[in-house]
Amino acid sequence: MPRAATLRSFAHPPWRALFVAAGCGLVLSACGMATATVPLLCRSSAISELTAANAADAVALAIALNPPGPLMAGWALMLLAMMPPLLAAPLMHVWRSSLPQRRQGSLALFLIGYCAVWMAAGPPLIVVAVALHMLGGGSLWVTFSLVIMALVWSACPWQRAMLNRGHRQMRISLFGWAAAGDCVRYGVVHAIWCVASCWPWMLAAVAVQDWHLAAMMAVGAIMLGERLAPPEPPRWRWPALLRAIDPRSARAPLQGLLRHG
Amino acid sequence: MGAVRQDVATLGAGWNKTLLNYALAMRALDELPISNRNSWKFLGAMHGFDEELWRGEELIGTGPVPADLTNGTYGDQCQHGSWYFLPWHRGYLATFEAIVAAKVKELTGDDWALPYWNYLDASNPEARKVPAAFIADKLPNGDPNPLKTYPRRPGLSALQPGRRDAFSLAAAEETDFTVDGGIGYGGGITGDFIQFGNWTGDIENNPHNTVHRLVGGYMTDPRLAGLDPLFWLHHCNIDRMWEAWMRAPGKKMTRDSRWRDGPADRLFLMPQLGGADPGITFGGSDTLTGGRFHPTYDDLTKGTGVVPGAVAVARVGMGPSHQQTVEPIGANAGAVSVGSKPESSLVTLEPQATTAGVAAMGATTPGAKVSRFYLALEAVRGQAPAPQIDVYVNLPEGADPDAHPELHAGNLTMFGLNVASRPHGRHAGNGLGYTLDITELAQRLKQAGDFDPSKLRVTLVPGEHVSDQQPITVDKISVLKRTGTVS
Repeated sequence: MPRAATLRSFAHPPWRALFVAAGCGLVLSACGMATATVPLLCRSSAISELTAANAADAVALAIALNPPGPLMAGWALMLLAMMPPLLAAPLMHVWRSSLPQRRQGSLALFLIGYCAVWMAAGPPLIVVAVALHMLGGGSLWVTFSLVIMALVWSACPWQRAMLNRGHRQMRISLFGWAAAGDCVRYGVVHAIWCVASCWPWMLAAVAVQDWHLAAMMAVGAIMLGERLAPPEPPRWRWPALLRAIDPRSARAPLQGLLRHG
Repeated sequence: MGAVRQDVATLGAGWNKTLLNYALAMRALDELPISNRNSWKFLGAMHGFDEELWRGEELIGTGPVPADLTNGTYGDQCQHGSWYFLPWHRGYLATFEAIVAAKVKELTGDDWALPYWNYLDASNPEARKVPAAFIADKLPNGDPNPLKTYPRRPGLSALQPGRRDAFSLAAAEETDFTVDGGIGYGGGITGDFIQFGNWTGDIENNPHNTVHRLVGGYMTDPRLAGLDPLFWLHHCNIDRMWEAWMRAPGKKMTRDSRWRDGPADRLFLMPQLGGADPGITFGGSDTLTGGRFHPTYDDLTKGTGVVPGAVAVARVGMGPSHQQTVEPIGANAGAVSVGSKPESSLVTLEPQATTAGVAAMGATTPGAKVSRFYLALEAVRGQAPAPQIDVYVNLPEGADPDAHPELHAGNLTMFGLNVASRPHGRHAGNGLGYTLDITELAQRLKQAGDFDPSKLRVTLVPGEHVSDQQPITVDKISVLKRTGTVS
């Protein structure tokens, strides 16, 4: 029942609009803008040759060969393709907390704050992804290791604590600059907890060299699943991905095994 | 589930057969280990459970806690502050009733149905008295009375609401189960399993929450309330009120699939008789007519505020629930903390929207636009389990609240505030939210020439369980305008 109920709940506002936005991001990523996406950073033969001699120089060369403008545009499209469904609850909170004539503007201000944080988080994640690939010689093991790391992160209490914090709503004033400031502040704070809870999965998505769009969709679905899981006291637990595959794992005694972990 | 639930006041004084059988079954169920899914403590822990608290209260020993209570299945399920409040508790009552009835059958051979405590029955002058069997020291045979096992307010023999307490049938006047934006009889909309959601429904605040506080003891804390045998008679009465409300013409029950299916992220789960796997999962539709948890009551008139079959709408209808709109038209400037002294806050209003709303407040012509005003207390947080506050509008500075009943907007008992305020609880520490209908108050102010469409002064007066040591904070006080069409 929960899975069917979840799917049916997506028919209500604001889900449809958010999935449409994510779909636009995917389509644009699949079109011309995709050439600026992160995995292609490592595909230059010059970079590959240099990697073996000096990894630091190779990273620098890779960055130099890929201008930041298109690179950040690619990152922005990646965010557009993956993040909108995660914002259903805060967007509704902003909408309901604002005067009717200010609602569109309030949403825009929230998104400005939210996107600013994620755009700032992009370069470090990209650099780390590139560095790991170069150190790993482009091996699939790098991607595999990052997925394992993300799964461990999804199981740990720190991620749960950050997800819980991300569910916290903030006061939105109704009038004047206070209202505008609250919307931006809420966007920034929400994004900080979003980055803190999702970064290993985003790193894994950035690092995937082939099937990049499929990876984006899969990671987006995983992050949405984690966001939809109800808050609970932080403790070791089965990752949302494994629980989705086999609900029996939700009852398995991981928390007992790792209670003191 | 076919048994007819009756008013406990009609079953006979003292140790009538129904209550004696209840006591015998409770004693037997309370002797079972908590690992038994039909035990008294397991059933209580399904409402709320906190391992540290339960060990501190010596409700459980030092042994391991059943995984059922901590793994997101059976334990800690109670639903408050959302539209799942009524259906979840209906399923909970039916499960409890079946387990107790089976135990009664086993012990005595009698049939048994859960009685209700009709404490707002105006035709019974003793309606507020706690049924004698719950406060007697002994069973008829001289054994200790199990119905008195768990603590209540010292000396409790009757509900004794204060003059301003929300202890009435006013919730029955609401015409809609829920209107998007936090207003309605049954609570705010959610698609998620939220133990304490954002918006408390009218019936939940009054009389449900008030009775929890007035009984006191374990009943004030949702993590312990299910252990008190009075809990079940109280909730049975709330459930009956809902049934009466649904059957009254003019009342609009939700048909939303999210309500009918139950939450998307965690199942409502009840144990089978005997406790075997799998448990019983359900959604709101299972609690309506024809559903497995739908109950039968002997009477839906006395103490419910409505008369089934008769038009009992005390206010004009506002059209279909989904076509009504709720929008904020005013808010204060910052969070308010209330300790031992009253605190006031100025709520700035958007004059144009307020004036338009005021003009449409009293509309009665079918098809005309009609408005109602609500005071909303958003993200209320605190550490006490059931603190109480009174809310006043335009109370002069320094005035004695008791001298101004005409400015009293409402009374709130915030049952479960401690749980809703925990940062890592099911509600992520978002606290509770309440709306108070101030339409009639606004009309009075307008008639007295004391309504300023640009501002209101709201005063929060602390009541029971609010102090400087245990203050409550209100993140935002706002004014909501609900608009519909006279129908």
